[in-house]
Order: sequence, then structure tokens, then C-alpha cells
Amino acid sequence: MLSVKFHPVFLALTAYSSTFVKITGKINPARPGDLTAQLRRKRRQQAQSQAATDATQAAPKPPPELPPVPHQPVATLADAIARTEQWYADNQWQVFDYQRDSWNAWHEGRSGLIHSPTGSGKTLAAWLGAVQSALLKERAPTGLQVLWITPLRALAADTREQLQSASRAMQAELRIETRTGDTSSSHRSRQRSKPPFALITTPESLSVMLSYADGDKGFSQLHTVVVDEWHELLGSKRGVQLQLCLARLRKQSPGLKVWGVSATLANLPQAMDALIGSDSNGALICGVVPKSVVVESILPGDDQRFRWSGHLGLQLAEQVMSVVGRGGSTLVFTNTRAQAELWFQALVQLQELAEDEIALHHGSLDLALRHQIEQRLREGQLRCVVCTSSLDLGVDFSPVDQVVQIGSPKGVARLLQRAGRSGHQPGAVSRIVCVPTHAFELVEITAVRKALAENRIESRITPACCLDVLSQHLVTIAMGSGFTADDMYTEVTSTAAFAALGESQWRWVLDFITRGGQALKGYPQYHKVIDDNGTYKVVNKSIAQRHRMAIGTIVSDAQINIAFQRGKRLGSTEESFIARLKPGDTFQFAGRYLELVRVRDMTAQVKKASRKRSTVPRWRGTQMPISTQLADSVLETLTAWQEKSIESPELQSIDDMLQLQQRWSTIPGPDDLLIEFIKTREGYSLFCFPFAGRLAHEGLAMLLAYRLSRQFPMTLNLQINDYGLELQCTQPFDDFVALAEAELRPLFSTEHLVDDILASINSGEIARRQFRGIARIAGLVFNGYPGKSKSAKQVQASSGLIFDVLENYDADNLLLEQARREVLEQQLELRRIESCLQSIGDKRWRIMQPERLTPLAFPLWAESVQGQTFSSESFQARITKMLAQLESAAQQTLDHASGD
Amino acid sequence: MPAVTERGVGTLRVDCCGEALSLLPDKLVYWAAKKTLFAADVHAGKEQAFNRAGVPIPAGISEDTFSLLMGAVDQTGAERLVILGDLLHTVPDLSETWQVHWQSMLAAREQLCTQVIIGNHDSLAARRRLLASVEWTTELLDPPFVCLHQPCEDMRGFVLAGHIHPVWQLSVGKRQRITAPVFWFQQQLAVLPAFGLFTGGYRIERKKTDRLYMVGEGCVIEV
Repeated sequence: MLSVKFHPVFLALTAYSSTFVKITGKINPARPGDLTAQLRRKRRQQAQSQAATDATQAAPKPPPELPPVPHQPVATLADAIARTEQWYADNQWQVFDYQRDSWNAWHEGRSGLIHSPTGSGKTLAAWLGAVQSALLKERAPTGLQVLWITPLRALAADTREQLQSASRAMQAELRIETRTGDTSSSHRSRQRSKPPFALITTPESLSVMLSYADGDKGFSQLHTVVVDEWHELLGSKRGVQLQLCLARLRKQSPGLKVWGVSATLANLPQAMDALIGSDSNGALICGVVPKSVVVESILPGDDQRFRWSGHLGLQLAEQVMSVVGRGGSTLVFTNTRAQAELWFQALVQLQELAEDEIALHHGSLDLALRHQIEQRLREGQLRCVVCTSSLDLGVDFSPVDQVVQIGSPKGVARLLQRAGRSGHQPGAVSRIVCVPTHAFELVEITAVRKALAENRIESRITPACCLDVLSQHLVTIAMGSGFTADDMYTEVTSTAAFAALGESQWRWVLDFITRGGQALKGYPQYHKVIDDNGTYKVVNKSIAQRHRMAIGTIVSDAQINIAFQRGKRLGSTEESFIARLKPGDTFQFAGRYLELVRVRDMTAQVKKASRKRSTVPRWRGTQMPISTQLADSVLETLTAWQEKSIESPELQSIDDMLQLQQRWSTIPGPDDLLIEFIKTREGYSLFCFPFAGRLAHEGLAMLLAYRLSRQFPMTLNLQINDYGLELQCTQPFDDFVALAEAELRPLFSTEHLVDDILASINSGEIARRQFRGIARIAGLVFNGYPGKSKSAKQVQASSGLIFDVLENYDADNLLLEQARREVLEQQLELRRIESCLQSIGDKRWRIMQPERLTPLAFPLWAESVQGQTFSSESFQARITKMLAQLESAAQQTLDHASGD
Repeated sequence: MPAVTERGVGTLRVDCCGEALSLLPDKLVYWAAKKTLFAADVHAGKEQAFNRAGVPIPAGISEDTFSLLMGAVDQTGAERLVILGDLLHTVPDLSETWQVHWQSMLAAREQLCTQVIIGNHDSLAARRRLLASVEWTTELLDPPFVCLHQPCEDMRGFVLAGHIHPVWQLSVGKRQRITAPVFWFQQQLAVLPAFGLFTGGYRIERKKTDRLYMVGEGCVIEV
């Protein structure tokens, strides 16, 4: 019986004869149970080693270690700079003035921020100062001197190569290494005992380094920190985390030079302050003038009726392919990962490129796969890569000839960054071809061109007083060297992110990490951080271990690996997507059609699917709102169209649609507020178009729904996009449609704005949703490690559940307050709502009652994304009503069937 | 197959195998004929397990869970309480005060007979702590009902079980949806929603023949 059962295994094993021999040596025929276990184990090991081989095959081979160059010191700084210039001249490069300025400022001991477009030599500007000073030393300096922070660990290897080749060319013998989440523990311990000259790392790995008790010793020689692509970190909690770590490093190494490298932003001085802390002597260095950007677009052909809504735009695949066919290499940027998967398939199916000439690249793909694609792109083997923001960044490693943007770029800065990936040589023109996914995006393309011409670029603001990040950081430091309260308060408030941190908030966070906050008082079981005679420390090993696993502020849903049955890993997706699939179902991932075989140990095992009909995973990512700059430019463009003062091929191609909008309703300009009441088959809808971006519209929609429903118990469905919002009433409600301007005005009042919004989000889901990230960062939710023991599972609860519990038992918990504040500031963009409402007061109100859905209203109505529901009715009333709706729908189907 | 017999305020009475059961909005089932109250998945001491692991969850949740349970006992006049497994979340520490609360509440109700089905969370070590005050058993037969922790059909009768923490999402079209705990009645078994105040839910998929009773804001509604 057993031998029959395991026959296939033996067959499989004979294929690997060496393994087979090893196993036979161990087989004990008398104990078949052991045999089974052994075979299973062996098979698993084989699968793993196979996976490992696949991964190493897939990953680019690390560049061969060149023999070290002899260190050739120079006598004076001038000699060092002369050698630099000589190296530039040998390569027929030109030393830019800003590079010289950066080196000088560095030698003066100053910190600063260098901003310059991609491909203009920013990296060398920030790096060579340290190399020149190393040349002044008789022997190659020992000890860690430079930390290089990169936002993406995928960039670390490329950065290393670039820094290494520069220092070699300068004849400085400097060891440069990387340290990211991928670095093996043996390598990390070697780095601790024999530190390199420069270490390239991520903000998260830097935090982990600070969490080791001997962490501060490793930094004793540190004199420079360079933060690459600072604009990417600045506006996020990762940037906040980095600010805290920098404050720590500054304290340990007085005189530390902190340099940032950034793309162009509207608020550069603030960006620099956030980086260099309270240092007032920072150098803001402007690089070369941005290269000119040409924005083109693909227009629908005469025979194509262009869609009013949608987000895929796949009908333009052939035209995109003809752009790709123009030659060279092309990056096709999409806004979401699902969109990238679909576009990749659409382009492959046109069969104009060989299979190995086109590739897919997004953040959920396996690292090895991504490396492989980047490598092939660099070597010029690929003609087209469909990608998401995963390829937004990059040291100047893979210049491409063309860039295509699918869908709205949402902002001017983002468009600039993406366009910058083409024409990488300084002074060359960057070209970007925009592909609209629905008709109105053609207006956006015209608008973005207009904003570019007027040089209206967005700012990035650093989030203030994130107590979740602070409590995580404090635990991290308590695990490392430990801290005393007063010193730490000074240190923390020296950062821009916590400059406004109040004493009471500070005390709350200390209380939170030592005693779990107010609501835990008197429970001796809780001891995360111990106050040991004034020094805060973590002593419990398992708490420390769990904390280290959870360091970081990138919050994602539980991820599940996707791998072939034999072990080759393809990437990961959200658990919730896989949970909805049954074995045998097919889906599209990593550019392949896959069939789910089974789910085991946090891995979805798949095989190639024979059927080509499938779903695409949806990753829950935040959708970027259209920037104020771009939205304003859209309204101006519309007015200009009305006045016939602007002409563009894009506007011309949707002239018909704009005419319809004008005939059925009206076209709003910067001084108008357009409101449309429309009866649809689902009920009555109010459409309103403030053009303030999807985040502000979400807040506005909830505010309006709340104020409206205060008058009558009602349930409203809310829908939003970048242009406007829809409030839909599910039951016929005549008064709703008859609302006159006088009655509508109070709904848009700025009075009690914050209170009303807070009241409206309490009854919504949104604060609960925002709490997901906070709970994870503050250590309230522990994701666990894949395949780990039950003990980890016993302390797992959803953030929603914890939110509810805290609301009931610890209503003063500042993390709840932070969730609400973040909702207001980031999720709903309170400031934008405020300024929007203020300006609405002075606007001309255009209240229309079109007979059908207008071109502006249609996309909102057709939006397939789940909207919010706002209700002032009771649970029972809502359910009863929903059941009645379901019943009447069922009845209609029955009537319909019997009528046939 | 239960049938709705009466809609009361808040509670819902269903007929199950000829017996009248009341579904209470507190996520409990009351069997008036035998003066028996059923509860599933209490998960007492869960917040303390979190606190031990360095995750600060406020205290008092287990106490409130018990007060709620005993309130329901008093209100219904139940003489027997059957807990369908997972009374405890993990081995409690001696210092956890909810245990004192629980003992004193039980002591105040001497006439109440408490029977607990052993759930997967109720480890032997955990059970030892509360051995004296309750009666532990792997299953309970009380025709027509069979009480288990993990739901599975049983030849001996209609199964009452817990373990799953069922919640259901009612949705109309793409836009309206509402998710809440449910009593999940299938052909030969019923799964109770989790009773504990610090318990999550698992979204179930219903078969056509299943009947679901949704719980929220003080009422139970068949959906």
C-alpha cells in the first residue's frame, strides 16, 4: 500500500540520483512512518533548494569583485579636487558648478540639500566630498564613515556600483557595502566587526541598526549621512522615522554632516530643514536647469468612440504598441499594479514584440524577478517594460528612449519624474507620451502641459507629530542604547516632524510604551519598556525580537506568497484576494495566467493555467489624488476652451463631448461651482464638481451627507473622483431634488467644519480604516511571520477590533486621536476642504437638472470602486430596507422570466 | 430547519426541531423549555494575553463580558448556562483580576449550573484554573440538541456549536453593504456568533438552504 502511494515520489527522486543515494542510506524498512516523513522532508528540501537555484539564476550575478586599487593619497585638498577634475576630463564629462559648490560646502563641514533633475550627476555631487577627504589620509580610513540612505532597497546594489566605480577612479581604496532586509545575518555581523567605509541602507534597516545594544559604537567614526531621493521620503512616515534616526545619529556624532539629494520641489527650504534639523547653516544647492519636457498624447482614432469613464484604456493598446515600435526602449508607466498586469497582457497579445523583448515590473513581484528585469533593461535586451511607480526611482542606471504614461499622472512633479527617465543625458529633451483612459483625461493632459509651461510644481509636506512612529522609535532606542526622558525629549523635538510635540503628548507616549497607557494601570503583566532608574530599556527578549521584526512604517495587508509547486517564487499578493479564490480558479499575475492549486503555509501554490480567462488581483493601495496645481489647471483649461483661447489636439478630439456637457448642463470654470441633480435608475443623485481631488471630495461628501441627513433619517451612498462627488439617495425623495440654492448653501458652510467632519467620520468606517496603519506602526497589531507558531496567533487581532475596543475602554488614547487627525489632514485633506469651501462661497453656483447623466457625472455614476455609505437610520431600518430592495429585485427578475 | 415564529423587541424566536429558541441581541441563545442559555466563544483573558506580549489592550474587557453574560442570565431567569467552547483565550496569569470577578459572579448565583464544552483555546492548563467552579465536558447531549465546540453534523441530533465567529456581509448592488455577526443555522446545525467583547469575526459564505440571523444595535433580524 505504502509503496504504491509513494511510487511517484521515488520516481521524482531518481531524477536527482545523488539525493536518492543519500536517502536510501537512511531508510529503515521496519519503520515506514519514518520513511514517509523523511521523504516528505527531502522533497521539501529539494523544492527549497530548487527555489534557491531559481532565485540565484534569476537574480543578476553580483558584479565580480575587482582587485582592490592601491590607495594613493594626495597632499592637499586642491590635489584631491584636481584629481576629480582629471577623472571628469578623462571621461569627457564637464564638472558642473553645483557639483563644485557641493564639495566645497561639504569640506566646510556644512550640511545641505542638492536638488537637480534626474541624470545630472547628483550622486557624485553628494559622494565625492567624502572621497576627496579620504584621499588626504595616508592609509585608507577604517570604521564606518558614511551612511547612504536609499528609499528603495532595490536601488542599493546599483548605488553601490556607482559609488564604488567613482572612488576607484579616484584611486581611493574604500570598501562600500549594502545592508538591507535582504542581507544575510553572517554578512551583517561581519559588517559589525569589520565595518566598511560607506554603508548603503534603507531607513528601516537604519532603525534596526539602532535597535542593537552596541549600535552606537558602530557609528563612532561616522561623519556623513547622505539621503538619496529625499523627496520620496519627505512626505511620508518613513521620512518621519528617518528624521528621528538622524537626530539620534547627530547626537552620537556631533558635527555630523547630513546631505540630501532631491528632485525639484516647490518647498525646498522646508525640505532641507526637515533633513538637517535645527542646523541653521545648511547649504541649499541648485543643480542644473531642468531639461525640457515634451508631453505628447495618444488620441483615439476617428472610428473609436471614446469612453466617458473607465480606468484601463486598453482599447488604445495598438496605438501604444506603435509608439513602442518607434524603436529603442520604452517604459510604460501605469498607476496601479492591476492595471500593469492587464496592460502587459494586452501588449503581449498584439504579438509584435518577441516574448523576451517585453517585461512586467511592479512592487509585488519577487525581488529576483525584478532584478532580472532591471538587469535586462540595463543591458538593452528589453524593448518595453510595463511598470508602476516601482521604476519611478533609480540611480541613473537605466536610461530609456521613450516613456509612456497610462492614465492621469495626477501631478506635475510626478509627470516630470517619470518623463525624466527618458533622454537621460544632461541637456537632452525628455519625452512622455500620455495615454488617456477616459475622455476627460484628455483635458488633464492639456492641463498638465499648461502647468508645466507655467512651472507650477507641487510641494511635499512632512507629517507632524506621528505618535505611532514616535512610540515605535522610542522602543527601538530603548532596545539599543536606552535613553533618559529629558535628553530624548530635546532630541525628538529637534526634528521638524516633532518640533510641535507638546509635553503632555510626550508624557503620554512614554506612558504608553512603559505602562500601556492610562487604561492599563495596575496591570503588572505589561512591560514593554522598563524605566530603570531613569533609563528607559527593553529587557524582555521576545518583546525585543517581535519589535525588531515589526520595525518600519510601510503598512501593507497580510501578504501571501505566490509560487509554483516546485518552489519557484513569483511574488506576493494580498491574502484577501487569494482567500476568495478556490483551487482551480485562474488569475493573472507576473504576466502569466496561473491556476491556484492549493494554499499552504502562507504560500499559494500555482501552476500554469490552460484557460486564458481570469481575474486580476487588486492590491489595496492608496490612490493618489489629483494635485491642486493640476486640478486648477484643468478648470482654467476648460474655461480657455469655452473662450476658445486654447487649442490642443486633445481638446479638439473631445470637442463633441465638451459640447454635450455644455448643452445638457454647463462647463464649470475656476469661478463656478457646478451642481447637477439627476434621476438615475438607482435613485436620485446630487453631483457636485469642486475639482479639489479625490481625498478632499471624500471629506466633502461625508460632510454634506452628514449635514443633509441631520434633517431627515436617510441613507446616502457616496461616490467620489478627482473632479467631483455624488450623493445618491436610495429611495425616491422629491425634496432632495428640489433643494434650492438657499437650502444648499448652509450645507457648504465652514462653520463647525471640524466638528461636523469628525461627527461624520465617527459614523463612517474611515477612522477605523486609518487606524490600520497606526496600530501596526505603534505595535498594537502584529503581522506575525509566515508559518509561525500558535503563540504568535494568540495575540493577533484585527486593527478594526482593537479600534472598537479602544473606543469603548480607552477613549482618550492619543492614537485614536491621531487616527482622526490623520484622517482629517491626510485622508480628507482638511486644508483643501477648508479652502475649497471658502472659495465656494464666492463662486457662481450653477445648479442644473439635466435629463440624463452628463459627461462629467457619468464617470462618478459608473465608478465601480466601492464607495462609502452614510446613514442616519437605525441598523434595523437599513437592513429592512436593503432586504426589501433585494426582494423587489428578485421579484422583478421573476416577473421578467414569466413574461418571456 | 428553524422557522420564524415571532418577532419580539430585540429578540427573535425561532422554531428548531420543535423546540422554541430565542435569539438574543447579546449574541446568546435561550432555550426557555429547559431554562438554558447558550453562549459561544467568550475568550476570557484575551486582552491580558496581548498585554503580556507587549501589546497594550485596555483592561476590563473580560469583566464586562462576564457582567453582560450574567446580566442575560438574570434577565432570562436561566438556570443552566452552556458555553460552547473557548471560554478562556489562553492560560491566565494568577494576577488577572477578571478571574476573581468571574468567581464572585458565579458564587452569587448558586442555583446556576454552568457547563462548558472544551474548546481549542481551553487548554488543560487553562482549565485547571477554573476547574472548581464550572463543569468541563467535551460534548453535551440534551435532545434534540448536541452541543459541540467545532461545528460538524452529528447523527444524534441538531448541533449547536461555536468556534467560527460567523459574520455576514449583506450587500445590495455594488454600493450598499453592512457586515455584522450572525446566528448561522444550517440544515442540521447552528453556529452561534462569538460572545466575547474582544473577538473578531470570520466572514462566512452561505448556502441557499442556510438561514442567517443578523445581530446589531439591540436587535436580531433574519436576512
